[in-house]
Amino acid sequence: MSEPLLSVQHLTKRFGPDAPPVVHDVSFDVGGGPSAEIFAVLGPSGCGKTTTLRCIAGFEHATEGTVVVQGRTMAGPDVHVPPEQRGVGIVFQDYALFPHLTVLENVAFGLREGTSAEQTARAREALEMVGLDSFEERRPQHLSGGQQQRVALARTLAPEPDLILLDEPFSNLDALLREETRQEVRQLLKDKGISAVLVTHDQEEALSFADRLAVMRSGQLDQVGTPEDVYYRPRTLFVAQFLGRTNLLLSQASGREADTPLGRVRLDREADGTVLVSLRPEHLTIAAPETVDGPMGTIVDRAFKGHDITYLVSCENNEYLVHTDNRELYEAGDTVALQPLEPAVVLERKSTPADVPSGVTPEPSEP
Amino acid sequence: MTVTRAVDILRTRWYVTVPVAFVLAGVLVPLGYLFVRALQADPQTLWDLVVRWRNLRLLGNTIGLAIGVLGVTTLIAFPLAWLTTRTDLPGRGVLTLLGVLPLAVPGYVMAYVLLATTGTYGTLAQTLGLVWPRLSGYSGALLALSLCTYPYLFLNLRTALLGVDPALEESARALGYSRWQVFWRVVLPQLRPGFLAGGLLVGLHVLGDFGVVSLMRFETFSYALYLQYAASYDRIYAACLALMLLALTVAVLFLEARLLRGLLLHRTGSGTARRSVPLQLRAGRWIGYAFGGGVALLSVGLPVGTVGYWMADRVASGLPWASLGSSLWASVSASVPAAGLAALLATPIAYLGVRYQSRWTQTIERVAYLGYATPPLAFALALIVFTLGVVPFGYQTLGLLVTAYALHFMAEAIGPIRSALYQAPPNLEEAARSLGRSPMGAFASVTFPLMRRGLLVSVAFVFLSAMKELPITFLLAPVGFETLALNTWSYAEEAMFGEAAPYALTIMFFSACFVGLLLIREQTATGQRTEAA
Amino acid sequence: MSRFFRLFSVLFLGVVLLGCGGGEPDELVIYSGRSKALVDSLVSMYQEKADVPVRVKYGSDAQLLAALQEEGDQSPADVYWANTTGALGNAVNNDLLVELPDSVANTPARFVPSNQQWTPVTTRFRVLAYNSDQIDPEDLPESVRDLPKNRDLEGRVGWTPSYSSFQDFVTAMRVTQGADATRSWLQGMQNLNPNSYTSNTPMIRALAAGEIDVALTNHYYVLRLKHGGAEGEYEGDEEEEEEHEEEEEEQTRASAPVETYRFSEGDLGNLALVTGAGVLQTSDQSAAAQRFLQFLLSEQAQSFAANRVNEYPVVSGTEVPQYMVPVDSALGLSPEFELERLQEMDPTLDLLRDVGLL
Repeated sequence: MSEPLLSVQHLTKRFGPDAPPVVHDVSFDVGGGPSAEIFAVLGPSGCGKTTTLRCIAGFEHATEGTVVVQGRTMAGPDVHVPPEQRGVGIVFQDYALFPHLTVLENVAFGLREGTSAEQTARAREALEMVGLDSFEERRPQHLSGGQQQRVALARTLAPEPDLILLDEPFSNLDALLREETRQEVRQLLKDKGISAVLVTHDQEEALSFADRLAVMRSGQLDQVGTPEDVYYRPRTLFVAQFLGRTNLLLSQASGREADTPLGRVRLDREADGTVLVSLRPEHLTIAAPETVDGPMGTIVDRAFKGHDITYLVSCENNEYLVHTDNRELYEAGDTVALQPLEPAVVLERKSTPADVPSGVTPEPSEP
Repeated sequence: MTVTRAVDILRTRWYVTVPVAFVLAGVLVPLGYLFVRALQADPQTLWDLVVRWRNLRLLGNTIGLAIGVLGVTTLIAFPLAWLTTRTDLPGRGVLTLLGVLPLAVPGYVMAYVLLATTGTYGTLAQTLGLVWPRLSGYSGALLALSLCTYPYLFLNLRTALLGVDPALEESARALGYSRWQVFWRVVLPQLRPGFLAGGLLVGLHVLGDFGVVSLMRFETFSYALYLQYAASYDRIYAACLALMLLALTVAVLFLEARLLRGLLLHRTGSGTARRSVPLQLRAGRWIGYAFGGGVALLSVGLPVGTVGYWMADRVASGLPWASLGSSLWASVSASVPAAGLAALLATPIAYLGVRYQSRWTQTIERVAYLGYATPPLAFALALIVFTLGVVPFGYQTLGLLVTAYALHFMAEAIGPIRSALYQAPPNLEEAARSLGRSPMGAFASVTFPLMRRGLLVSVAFVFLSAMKELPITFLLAPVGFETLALNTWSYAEEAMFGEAAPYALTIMFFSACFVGLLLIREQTATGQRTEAA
Repeated sequence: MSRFFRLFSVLFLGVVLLGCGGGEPDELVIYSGRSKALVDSLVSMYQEKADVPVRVKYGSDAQLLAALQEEGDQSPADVYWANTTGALGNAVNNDLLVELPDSVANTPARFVPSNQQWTPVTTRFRVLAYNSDQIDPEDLPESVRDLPKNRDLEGRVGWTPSYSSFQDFVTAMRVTQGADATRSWLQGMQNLNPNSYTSNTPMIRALAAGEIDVALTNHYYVLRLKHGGAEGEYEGDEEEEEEHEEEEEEQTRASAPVETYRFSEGDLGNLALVTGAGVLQTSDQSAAAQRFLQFLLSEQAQSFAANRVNEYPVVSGTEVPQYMVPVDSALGLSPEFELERLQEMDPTLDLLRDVGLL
């Protein structure tokens, strides 16, 4: 593995000498592989993810730790390279387009090499890239949200930075536009081979947009990994809950198996004693009671979604969520057998409160 | 948390540190001077002078006048600001211009004019046979000061009204409130910062005014202070009174800061592109015209007409063109650089206050207001001592006069720059920096252009004040440097109104042209922003 | 960088450059407490005659005195020209003036102080101005000391407690009659509920406007109101005189008839006061400064003062206009009083503060 494009090591940020750290001992690398990488930092609002981004951009001074971009130390003990010398682009949540400049002037703003004709040409190229070349004489405030977003992106990409930072860039768009834009931007970054760090509180966005992601809570990273990894093998209760709904089981483990409210279940790793394990709804299925011998439950509710169905099943005073394909058809009130399809994931003990009830978790709350 | 960042900025950026240090020095030197002089006083005499009933009466008069002027200016400025921003009244632009022009009328001219208009032998009685009791005392000072200062409030309220997000009003309407209720419960509370900013300038103006109160024979603190300097050749006891006046000002500043606490944080970042739907006045428009016209007639028409009438007497024997020209040049060559310098100094101070809001930065801002409140005579004397002691070659130069104007009037420049800074959210600068601009470069290419409107208003305020200024000019101008204001006052003091008139008219005319020019620029600036909205 | 920004930098640079211009070394610098309206023509006359550049700083007596004191020995001023004996006395007490040679001090016919540190330039008299529509001069008292007894004047009197000429008059009363008598006079006047003005001009305007009916003032304010006073360049030809008279009629129609009342011979109410000038110790060209003082005492300047400013000359032989009371009779009405005693201002100020006038 070659040297990473961005390496953040033990980054800590306090506002004021006695204040508690907003970012605490955060470390991760981005873009070590052969191709560009999109990295996401996911966390609820106030978790310190934007501060982390601002430390990377250079708007905040890191209290401790280092930020290295392409082998150059940008922040570290007694080092603080100002933002304008970092070669790192940023797209803000509200785009921060300059209202006194036209769209073209906005995009050309960061281009400072070459003649002005060359600058204009490159700005046009960048605008074309985002499909807004016909809007160049407009003022940004006369564009729609999606168009503004693309201008901001073009402006950031025009100087061809090594790395771009995206601070919740899609959150001001409406749902439909959001997904579409997300895919476009991802495609664009991939085409151009530009690495990016995305900060978001939207788990779906992080999972679908990033090659790898980090989940952040109270200034610390709980887990770093690929979307699949983090989703299916959450290390902590927080990660398990934040990335989507899951079923929690308070269990007695011994070795690779555990006694759970749903009977004996295989575990993803060895454990002993009381543990909390997580089973994603799609790793659970239901079957007719006579076909399987497992714990019995009653269908409480169901939501038909076309390609699949979500059931809420009550079993021994707990409720569980089950995603099945649309071949398993039951009505509310039916009795069914519950059956795990995959090994359950053992959650780390340190972050497991003793009194977590078994059963399904609520929707990950939007901050 | 922002304290450390503000300190960081001060430590690392000379272009912030130098102006801030300059302003603090410029304000604190006069203060130090006053303390030094006051300490020279004989304690017993000082005690007798400070602790006496008369001072209590002066205090009562001063506060009473300030409150009265605030009341009257609100009654004038509020409807005018509303008419020019929220209605479809044709000619709103002209009305706006007329609402700013009284700033071009020196207070003493206004007082002389009002005195000449009323009374048994006044112009009103002469021309219309209307005998109005001759204005004097409280009512006279109240009217003259209100007519001269309401534009400060008018402009601030106008900006505030334009800044209110129409979506808020619309949602309140949708929630079932009437237009009037919405105005009362949604719009009005949002105007408070603007009202306080304008009110502060009006209040400080009243506290410091000498010209009007002396002509109207209403005894306030500054009046007593002037008498100490003028009548008793006494720098020492005058210094004591000046400190008392400053204490009063500090109280006012403190009060304003208390009232303002937490209000500014609610201001939304960027200006809204959309304007609220103007109210259709229909028949009510004649009431609008009557009100606007009445105010303009009193505050602009009356002084211009009266002074013009005085001048008419003199036109036959020829106008002193050479002297007019040289004094116009003197006024402009001092006022224009002073206005620029004041804006230049006020920018970093307002910037620190807005971007790094903390007790520290707010204190710096308040200190800058103290310069405005330091009695000009004391201010000038302190600068004489300081200049001769530290930079003797700077004494008796235009540079000193310009600096003195700028330091003294900077408070007028801070407000508009402050509001302008709210129009340029900080992440625009950050965006510029991530695109390769230095901190200064980012400010210059992004924030500065967005602040332009506010800067123009600041420049206008200081320019207009400097054009009218007297006591500082008397003491600090280079020998032989005679401004328009100086000439106006000299002749008027000897009752030679015919001779004074051309100078007074030139002040008013030239200031009006300047303000008109700025307003045209402001209109185009807003026009650009709202065109396609 | 924005155009605007550049404009600002240029402006700032301009300020700095302009700031570097100093004054020429050989010009005569006058600090004049007398206002420009009364001084300007005289100065241009002198400049023309003596071919010396003269620059004047205007202000009030007190402002300039304060400035002189703060400037100390770095003051650029050569001449201090003041409206009042009090200010000049104060300058003497603060050791600001030099002793004048006899050639200057012997020119005026009277009022030269024994220390010879300043010379009188013009004379003015205290008078009572009244509205002849409302007041019959027969009803006015013989002595200013009896003015408070005229109870029917209540609310109709104007005075200027903070004005230097008035304070000089109070000092004279205090010196001749004693502090107690003066205090009771001041209190008696206050019982008449007078209108206090900061200076004489607005007071005379108030008299002309009918706001008050009598006013304690200096003689020339009435004359200026009625006869126009100093305007334009000094030419002194007959034609202009006539024009003034036309104007006078026009002006009087728009105001109440204002007349001058003089108390009986030797009364304090007719006190003569002087304006004067001195050469400053800081002056580096005292010879030129003395020449300027001499010019002020010349026939030309004295006559200008009489004709344009309506003040009385201090040198013998200068004619005053017809409408002014002749010099000798005016002087005859004034009491004998040593003007140097007017320097004792502090007890007077204490007295005025004591009765609540300052």
